[in-house]
Amino acid sequence: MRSVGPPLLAALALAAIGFLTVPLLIVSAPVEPVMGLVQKIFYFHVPCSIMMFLSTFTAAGGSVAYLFRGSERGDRLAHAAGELGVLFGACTLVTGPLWGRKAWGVWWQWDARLTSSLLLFLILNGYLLARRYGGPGGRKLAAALALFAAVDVPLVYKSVDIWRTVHPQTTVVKTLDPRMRPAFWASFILVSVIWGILLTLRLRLEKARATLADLELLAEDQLEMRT
Amino acid sequence: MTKRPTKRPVNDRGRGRWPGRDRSHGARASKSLVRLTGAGAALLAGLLGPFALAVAQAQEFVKVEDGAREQLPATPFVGAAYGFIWLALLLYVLVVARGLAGVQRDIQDLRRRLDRAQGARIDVAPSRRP
Repeated sequence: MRSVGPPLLAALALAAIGFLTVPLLIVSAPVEPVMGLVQKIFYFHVPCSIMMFLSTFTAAGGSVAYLFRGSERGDRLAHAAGELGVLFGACTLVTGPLWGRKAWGVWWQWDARLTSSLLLFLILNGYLLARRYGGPGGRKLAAALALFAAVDVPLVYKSVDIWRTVHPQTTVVKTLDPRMRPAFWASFILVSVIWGILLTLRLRLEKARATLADLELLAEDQLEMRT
Repeated sequence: MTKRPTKRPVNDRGRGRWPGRDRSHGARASKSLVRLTGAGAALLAGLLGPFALAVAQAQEFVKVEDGAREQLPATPFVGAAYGFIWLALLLYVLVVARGLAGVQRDIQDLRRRLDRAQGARIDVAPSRRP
């Protein structure tokens, strides 16, 4: 009960903060004249995609530490961040088509931004699958995949500037209407806090698993000593 | 409104009174052929007319005055987007919390068994780990 309490309390507190403050700001933000109400998906779609990028960079950083210095802590960090990358990637790739269906008339468009985002999401999924089913060398293979995912992030970000796409360009946040900025930045801070708490929780789980593995080894040693 | 006679008057030369009308067998046959063709064309037009009209409509843009425009309501899309995000995050928190509770239960169980076997507590607390 002691271990279940804090995460649940954190989740409830976050849900309370999220449901009470940010929606009020989003509702009070002006409606965009061209796209209308559906533009309000933007306030969570963009922070989720930024968290996907941040997760990927964190996973790549942890993977570098694991690959070149053999850091177990780095590997645990990479694993936790990789999972969060998939989670926030799913949020991005679900909310984007919901927006696109109304704004563009189609659920999906194979343009550079959407395709590269999907590719990043698939690489992150590949990272988790390689860890789980890759066998003895799976963790190193997964770490290499995390580096590839990190290389894809700048491509995803700059794709709207390099190629002609239907997706809004990177200047959309900079040129945001001043009355829309409080809602956007409040959403961004909230999603960032959620990301931080989820990463902490996930790291605690990884640390507890490592402790359990150590204890199991110790129990096996004692059993051998007795026999 | 003049009523057309049912039987055409015949002159002394066995030809119809109206100029240009030939009452010979060949002429009657060609007239029947024309009638048949007309009926066939009318039938074909009746059958294919709506289809042809639809094709013609699809290939031209007609401005609609004060007509109802096709509009997708935005609310379901916004609701689905926000609902998915919150559901996914809460589900993830629950999965992690459940996993953490299970692993910590296993740790406590193993520690208890080791303590019982060894007679003393083995200090491998998570905080002591490097």
